[in-house]
Amino acid sequence: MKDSSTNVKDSILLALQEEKESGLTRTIKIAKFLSAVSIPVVGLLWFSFRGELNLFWLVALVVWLGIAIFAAVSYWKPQPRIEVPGFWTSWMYAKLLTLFLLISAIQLLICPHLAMIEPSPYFSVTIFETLQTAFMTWGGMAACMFFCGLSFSALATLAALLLMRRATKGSRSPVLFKIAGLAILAQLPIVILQISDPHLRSYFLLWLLGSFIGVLSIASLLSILFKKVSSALSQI
Amino acid sequence: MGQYKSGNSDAFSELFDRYEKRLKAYLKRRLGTYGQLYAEDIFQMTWLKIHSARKRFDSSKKFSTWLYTIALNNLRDHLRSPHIKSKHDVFDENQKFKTEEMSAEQSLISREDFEQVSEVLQLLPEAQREIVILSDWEGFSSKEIGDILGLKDATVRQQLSRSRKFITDRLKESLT
Repeated sequence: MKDSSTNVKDSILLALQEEKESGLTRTIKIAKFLSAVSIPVVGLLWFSFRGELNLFWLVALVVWLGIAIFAAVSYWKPQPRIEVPGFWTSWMYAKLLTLFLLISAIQLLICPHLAMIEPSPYFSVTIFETLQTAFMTWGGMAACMFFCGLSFSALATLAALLLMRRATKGSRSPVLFKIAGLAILAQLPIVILQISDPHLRSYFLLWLLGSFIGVLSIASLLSILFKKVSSALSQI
Repeated sequence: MGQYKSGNSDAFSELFDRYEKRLKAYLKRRLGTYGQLYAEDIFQMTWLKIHSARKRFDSSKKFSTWLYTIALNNLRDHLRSPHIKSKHDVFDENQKFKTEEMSAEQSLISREDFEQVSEVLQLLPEAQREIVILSDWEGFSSKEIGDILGLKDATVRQQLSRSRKFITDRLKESLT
């Protein structure tokens, strides 16, 4: 196994090599990244609608693709690709944003409330219908929108930060707020669709608030937890 | 550094190899035995920050001064965290330098003397201890230390003189 110095040295050498790459090589890399992320999502939506796509859906899809392009460009910007505690670079934010984007696409496809948006490519998943009933009984539509935003974003954050635990360790407030900001950015396509629907229009801010709180609380918790664990391990 | 700024990999490798051991030893010395793991993290973060800020480097200045300024800022950020701060304070009381890191110094003074100096050094306030380490261990001039710590040259010299006198007096006391 390589030691940490070799890792940081190698990653900087690789970044210097990437700086010398031509624009075409980088564009190909970006295009590959983008196709891998977006073809399944956009393809599935396109196929589900089969010509019923309205303007709001089209705008939401274009915004989703725009954010995906931003993530791909940030990911392939020449930079050292190494995770160091508390030091976040654009490729790591890009990884997170991509994951949040995929989760927002899944939300669009399986959230029972978003099925109210016409036309909707809703794929029924029983567990979410049970959850919806529970939230609706407890606090009505407002609670359902808030907790749906919160639970999906919290789960996405948990999965992403567990994968990137070395960088998450000891991350400070500005980083945690950036992560929450990315989660909100990835929710934009959903918000566009919520605004388009008269039933959901008045609740979209609750959805966003739920997402923001979900991401921020999980990210803060993991940041402290990983730091404590690492500190405890260093004492052994 | 000029060549590294313009993207030369060999120039970067040379700089990295030249400062790797020295910087690691410095960080480990500053963090003591409890902080070996953090020393590695701060070492990596320092080089990543050097890389991302390299185009802004003022070529009229010394690279080593810039490197240590960044390393020291990272170190301070790390020590400022409440969880780490309490631990560092506890360890400061009895901190012993890891002697295997100090082969060069050990060849000049005996292990016993070295430990005595290290113990006295721990009695100095943080700011003065930093100046002594940068001057007498790392070999920086008072002007360079001033650049690293953001202090005036005269202040550094004054602090250094006071610290050395304090160390000498304490060592004399322990001999008598």
